[in-house]
Amino acid sequence: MKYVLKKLVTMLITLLCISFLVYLAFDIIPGDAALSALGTDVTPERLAAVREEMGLNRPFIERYADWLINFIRGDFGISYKYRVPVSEMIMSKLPVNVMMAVTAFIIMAAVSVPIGIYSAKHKGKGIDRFIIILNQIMMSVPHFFMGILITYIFGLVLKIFTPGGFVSYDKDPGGFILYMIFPCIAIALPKIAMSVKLLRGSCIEEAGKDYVRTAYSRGNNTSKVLYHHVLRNAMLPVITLWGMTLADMMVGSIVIEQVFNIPGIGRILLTSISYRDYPVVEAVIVLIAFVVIVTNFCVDIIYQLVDPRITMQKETLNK
Amino acid sequence: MQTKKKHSLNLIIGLIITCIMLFLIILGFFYTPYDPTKMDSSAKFAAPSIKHLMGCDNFGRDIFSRVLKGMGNTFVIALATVVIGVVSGVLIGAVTGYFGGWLDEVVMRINDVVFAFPSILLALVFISLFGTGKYNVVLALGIAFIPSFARIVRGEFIKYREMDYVKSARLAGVSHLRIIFVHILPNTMTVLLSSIMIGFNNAVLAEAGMSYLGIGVQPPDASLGSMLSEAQGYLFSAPGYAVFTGLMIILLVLGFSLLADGLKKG
Repeated sequence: MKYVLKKLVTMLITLLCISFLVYLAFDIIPGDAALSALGTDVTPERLAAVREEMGLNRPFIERYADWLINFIRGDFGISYKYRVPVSEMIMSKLPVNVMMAVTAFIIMAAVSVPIGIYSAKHKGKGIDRFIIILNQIMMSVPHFFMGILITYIFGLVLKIFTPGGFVSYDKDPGGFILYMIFPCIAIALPKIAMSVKLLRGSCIEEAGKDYVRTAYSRGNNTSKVLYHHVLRNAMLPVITLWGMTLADMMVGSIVIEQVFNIPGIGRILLTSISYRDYPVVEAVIVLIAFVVIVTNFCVDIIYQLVDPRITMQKETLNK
Repeated sequence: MQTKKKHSLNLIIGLIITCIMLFLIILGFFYTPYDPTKMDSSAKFAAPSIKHLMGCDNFGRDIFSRVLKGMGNTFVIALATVVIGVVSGVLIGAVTGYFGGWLDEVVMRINDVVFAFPSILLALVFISLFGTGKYNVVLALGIAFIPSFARIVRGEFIKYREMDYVKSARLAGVSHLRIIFVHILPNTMTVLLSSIMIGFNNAVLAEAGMSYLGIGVQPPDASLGSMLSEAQGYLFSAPGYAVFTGLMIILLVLGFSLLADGLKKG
């Protein structure tokens, strides 16, 4: 419990730091926010009025506190370019990205665990060698290139889906799922390779330990030892990797969106970057960072549930 | 015995791929079979042949020449990124790990915060504030990579600073600076070298991703990433363009990751 509390406090501080740093960066560097909202050809009186209205004359800390409170409430400010609330722009698109990341994550977990175990079980045989080589290659393929390859093979050659023909969920749920499965696979594939490699390695390492020999000597058969003893310990490093992976997949979905022409949060982010629409960029980045940090927190907690030794180890390590 | 053999095999294959890629990159700096920007309307979408090794793109530009140039750009950007990350990371990690104390606490907390942030996002913040372009990509990614190197180096320094040889060097009157750079740093090299290679790969992938999104290298400069985004538009008429360009990224990354693997275990 003390561990959970400590982690929770650390997480909150990290969240606060990140939001502060991002706000600070976007406050200082771009120059006058009122000027960038209005454009350069504006009368000084109008500029002064807008600055007052935007609250730019108040001290920085006050503005930051206001922004943070509004942010927690779900009000991310007004877009400079489109003049609509940022939350409206983002919140309608965010589910697409979250869904992509979560689906890719599920695919990864479902595929990599059996393959990793299988590979470790058949260590040194032909099939294991093949899996290792395939893994090594897969890990080197950037996910957006994987997306392009998938578009070419499944879209243009096999014609299973129409490239660029995204349909929204409300219009055609079947078509939506069929279309979305490909980008999700593109995101998942490199991560599958990574976790198979890690799981295989840690399974083999665990299998060589004394407690496994003891378990065998007590009359357990291979699969019993594997599933009851080895796997539980072998999964620990994999869980850590998965925690970081979910964050990567969130970010990856932003890139993959462009490959498959999916209207998601990434397109908003890219157009806002090119139009210097700072409230939008700020909101998207802080939001993704929040998702990432909260995920990491959850991973830490799950980790501790799986292996209570961690609490002690980490505490001694920190000293 | 058998496992030993396999690791060195990794190392050898990695070495071969990396050498070939480095040769192509260096070749690209001095010589390309065609001018990579010269358009030849008669060769539009030409298929791979002896004249055009990888065929031609939508403007009839030789893809092989363009890939050579693009690879050079990608390589230089990734290298510069890693240099920024490693030099700053080593300095921060060495000082904080060696001396410890409150400075260590503060720097590592800041590091934790930056580390919790996906590096591409950090780069995006940077790009949106300072604009796109080659140099900004290098700076953005370089800064984003500092924490991971600092972390590794710090861990190593904590391990070594309590060792007897360091203590006796200290007793013999060797200065802190000399201990850090002459006595401890060389010992961290094996760990550092393989993480440099992994970092290099991440830099290649991150740069390619950013240029693919159009927020990295800007035309007329080309990198493998920006070429891929261009090639995607002609996927139907000239699939070779995308495939060859992507293949180069894969080979570049594969070579270094095999090397890193081989070094770590061998």
